Amino acid sequence: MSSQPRASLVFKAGWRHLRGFGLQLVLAIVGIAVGVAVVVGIDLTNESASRAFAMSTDALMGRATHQVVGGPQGVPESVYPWLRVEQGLRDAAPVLELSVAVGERELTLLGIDPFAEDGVRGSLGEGEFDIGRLIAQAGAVVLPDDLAAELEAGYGDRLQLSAAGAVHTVEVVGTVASQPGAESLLWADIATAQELAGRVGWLTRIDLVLEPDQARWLEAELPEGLELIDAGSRRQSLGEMSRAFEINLTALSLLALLVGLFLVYNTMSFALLRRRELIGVLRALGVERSQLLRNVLLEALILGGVGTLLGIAVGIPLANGLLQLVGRTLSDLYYARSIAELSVAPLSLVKAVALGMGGTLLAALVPAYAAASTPPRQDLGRSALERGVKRRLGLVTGLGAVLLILGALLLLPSDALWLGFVALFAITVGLALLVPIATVGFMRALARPLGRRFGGFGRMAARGVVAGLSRTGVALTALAVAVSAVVGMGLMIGSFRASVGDWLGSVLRADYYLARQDDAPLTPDLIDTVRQLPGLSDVSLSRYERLPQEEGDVSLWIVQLGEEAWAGFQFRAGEPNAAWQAFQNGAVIVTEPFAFHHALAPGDRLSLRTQEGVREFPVAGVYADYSSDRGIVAMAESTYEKWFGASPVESMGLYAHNAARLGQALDELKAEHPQLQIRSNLDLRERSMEVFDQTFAVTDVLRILAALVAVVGVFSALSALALERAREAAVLRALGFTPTRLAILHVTESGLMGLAAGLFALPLGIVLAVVLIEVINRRAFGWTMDFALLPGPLLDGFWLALLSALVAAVYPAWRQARAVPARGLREE
Amino acid sequence: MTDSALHLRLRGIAKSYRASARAANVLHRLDLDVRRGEFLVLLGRSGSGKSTLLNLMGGLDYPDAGEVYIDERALFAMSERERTLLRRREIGFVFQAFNLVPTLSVRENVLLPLELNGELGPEAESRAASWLAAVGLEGYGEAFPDELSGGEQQRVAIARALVHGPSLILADEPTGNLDLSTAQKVLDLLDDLCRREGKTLVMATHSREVMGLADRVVSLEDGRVVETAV
Ligand SMILES: Nc1ncnc2c1ncn2[C@@H]1O[C@H](COP(=O)(O)OP(=O)(O)O)[C@@H](O)[C@H]1O
Ligand SMILES: [Mg+2]
Repeated sequence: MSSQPRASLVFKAGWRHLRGFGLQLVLAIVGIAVGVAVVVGIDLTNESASRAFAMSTDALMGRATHQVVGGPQGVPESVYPWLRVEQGLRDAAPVLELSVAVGERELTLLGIDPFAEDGVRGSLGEGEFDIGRLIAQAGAVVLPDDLAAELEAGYGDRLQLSAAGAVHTVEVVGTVASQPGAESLLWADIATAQELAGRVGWLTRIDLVLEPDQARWLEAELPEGLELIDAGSRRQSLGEMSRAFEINLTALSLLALLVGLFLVYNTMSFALLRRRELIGVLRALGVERSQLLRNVLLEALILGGVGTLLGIAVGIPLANGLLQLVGRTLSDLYYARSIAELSVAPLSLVKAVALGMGGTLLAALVPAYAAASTPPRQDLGRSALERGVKRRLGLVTGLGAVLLILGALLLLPSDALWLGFVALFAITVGLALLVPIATVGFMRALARPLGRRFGGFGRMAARGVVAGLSRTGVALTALAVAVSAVVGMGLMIGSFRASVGDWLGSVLRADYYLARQDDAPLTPDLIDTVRQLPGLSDVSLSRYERLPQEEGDVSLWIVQLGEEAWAGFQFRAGEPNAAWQAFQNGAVIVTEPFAFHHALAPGDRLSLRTQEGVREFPVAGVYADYSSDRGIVAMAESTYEKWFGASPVESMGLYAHNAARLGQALDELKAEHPQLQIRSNLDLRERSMEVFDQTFAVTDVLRILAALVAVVGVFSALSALALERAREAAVLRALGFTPTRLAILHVTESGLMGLAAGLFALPLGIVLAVVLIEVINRRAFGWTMDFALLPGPLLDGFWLALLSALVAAVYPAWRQARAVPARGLREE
Repeated sequence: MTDSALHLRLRGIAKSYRASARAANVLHRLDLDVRRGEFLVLLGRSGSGKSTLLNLMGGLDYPDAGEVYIDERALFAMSERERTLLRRREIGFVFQAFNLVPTLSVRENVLLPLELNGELGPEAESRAASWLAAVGLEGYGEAFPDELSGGEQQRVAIARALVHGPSLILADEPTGNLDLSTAQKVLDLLDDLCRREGKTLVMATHSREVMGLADRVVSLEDGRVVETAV
């Protein structure tokens, strides 16, 4: 059959044509590559973070299926022999977990029974250590190889270890092979750990490997105050901690890909526009539409493939960089373990290939179909083409309106987060599709004043944008979407920041805050000394504690507050005065995210496991708090003492009637007790905002990346437009336009586009910010924040659009102005 | 005295295209004089270098060697800007493919050269209008180029080439895209207007029909000019 060679010739004709667009092609590939790189980068970062988390959880829990836990004190030591000897459960391993530090390095010390370890957690692994000394010698520890190397500690060396507010000397009695997830662990015998922790007679928990029926039986048999919890569900809820990040990052990465796809669409539709004559001839020769369509899609696949491969190649180092950033934030916020290693999950790569290739195909589909539908040999002049575009403008606008309404409707029926994302996407695309019609209106309105001011020159610039809508429309839309995303994120983060600042201003009432640098309890003597300080009017005392519960740990904030401190709480639900009374009498109040995650409202009851078993606490109110996206339960110290036992104090808020006196007295106190950390109100507020800004540092990087893709997009569209208009430019030169003037015309056109994109991006960005604030953050975390219409992000966005359009125009305009007019005239 | 009657003087013009498959010289040490007010027809097969030569006369391209003198001013000794200004004031182009600015209306296309020369206001408007009338297109002013037929477009192009009063008109196969009877009308119009205004007209063509109107006919052969009897 002769159809095979003919097909390949037809493909060759098209492919060579496409290849002729050097710069354009490179830009399209760059677009895909950047989009894919961002997706891969973020996906791998997320994967690595959760894998690192899972691995360190594994290192801590191993094969354990269940855990015996107790109240805040933990589990009495005697339970262990009871389980192992009397009940005959051999697969039981006790552990006392303790945060320690060697110098600046923060570590987790696991106090274990070395003989019980293998069967349950196996956390110790292979290595060379003296098990006899580990058990028998007080202060003996074992380290992973890498950590030993890092600390330059070998067998027999001594380390200064700070734990529970004191410094101890321990001796290294061996090392074990480093395992992923266990980089920051060290091991000691239970007795040593208890000594270091100052908790003789207590364990954090006992890990068990149990069959389901054993578990059921044990649950009933356990002594009062202890509970058996399922390690699986606990592990899962620990993993949820980093979800907040994943959600934010994923949204951003999809956005970058969207802008990348605009580039593909741009290049393909441009290349095909330029090919319309060739296609006309091919059709006249009898090539079928479907064959043309197939060929064009094949071309797109090749582009997509190259772009995707490049994107993956760039994405992996990008992930490494992001991981450093994210790792820092995550360990600040959630767990003090470093995420050192990037793991390249095959699934992430499959996802990237699917998105890169699939997205490219999708973006190429519309122009490919339009090209294949070109009637044979019709002399499609540029103006006929633009008329076609204007006809399609109605369609695009209609589709945009429908998507917008659909997106708005999707927000109504449920509170599902994924529906929120779908709505966000629909609204974004819907608004984007309205950009072209808005452009036409805007340019028409501008043409008159521009014409009056600059004559035909000004009119040409404004009309040039409209006339080239098939090119400019896409570039403008891409720019507007990218900029609106920057504006939307900026407004969201700005509003968030303002809410946090407002909240800090309200909740941080004390003049000074005092705690130990290592967060160890303050001694009663010290508290008394502080109470006697001159200038002091009132103090509040507090401490944070993690209460292990079936559904994950609950952060408990145990406080002893004066009325003044109470007035700082911003109640979202519940009446403050009534809540105050109830709080003093045994009720708890919870933060907004906690109420959201546990579906609690004032009047509901919250179950917590106490020393005397599970007890229900009335919820008196829901208050604003942005310090934890998991949520916090606040409890009066008196209530805690009643149900959990004595609560040591970790931090004090000091209220002054004479701040200067108090400040002076505190300086003296600090000189006496160097381990104390004393922060002024302003200091603490600033430090908190710093943490906030650091948390969002990673979104800055991504915003810059999105903006970069937008600039590349405009650049690509403009150089395409310049190519297409080479003839028009040559004619203007023949008429006597100087090169400078021609360049100014094109830069002006581009500037008008930037102006339009900048203006359209503002309402678009505001809508995105409102959706992010009112829908996404509320549905994901339960945070309420006030939308703040900040001029900063709006102006940033506007300038970004205008400047990127101008910058992107410079090179194509310069090239065009320098071109020899005779060549442009010859070109057809 | 005879020299002042010389409008255009080409000396030793050479031009070749690197990319050209034959790599041969398109123009080969070509000399040519054109008198003021003369209607010169440049005859030649397709590919003989007519467009190349006209582009060089108008300063739209650069020769490899040689010089073009317009009223004894060396075109390629000038800066790009000076060359552009000279073109803007003294030269009018008519192309085979009309080449109107698609984003400007007919009226605005004709106004464009005036505006470039700093002529604005009602004065310019009325001049443009009278030129549109002269090419028989009153009432078409607000139309856009793609709404006109080829012949009408070329008439707009002629008005645009003449409106600012250039002394030299360069026409590159102005009738190449038109049917025979339309072509004849356009030719007559161009000839008529140029003669009435005393313009120098250099017209490239490969059709011999034009020859009856011309003062002088030259052929491009092997990169040189050969005088041809009318
Ligand atoms: N930009 C170019 N690159 C390469 N060859 C060219 C270019 N422009 C013209 N030529 C060649 O120069 C020769 C003369 O072209 P041209 O001046 O357009 O002839 P005409 O106008 O008489 O048809 C032709 O052989 C053509 O192929
Ligand atoms: Mg020619």
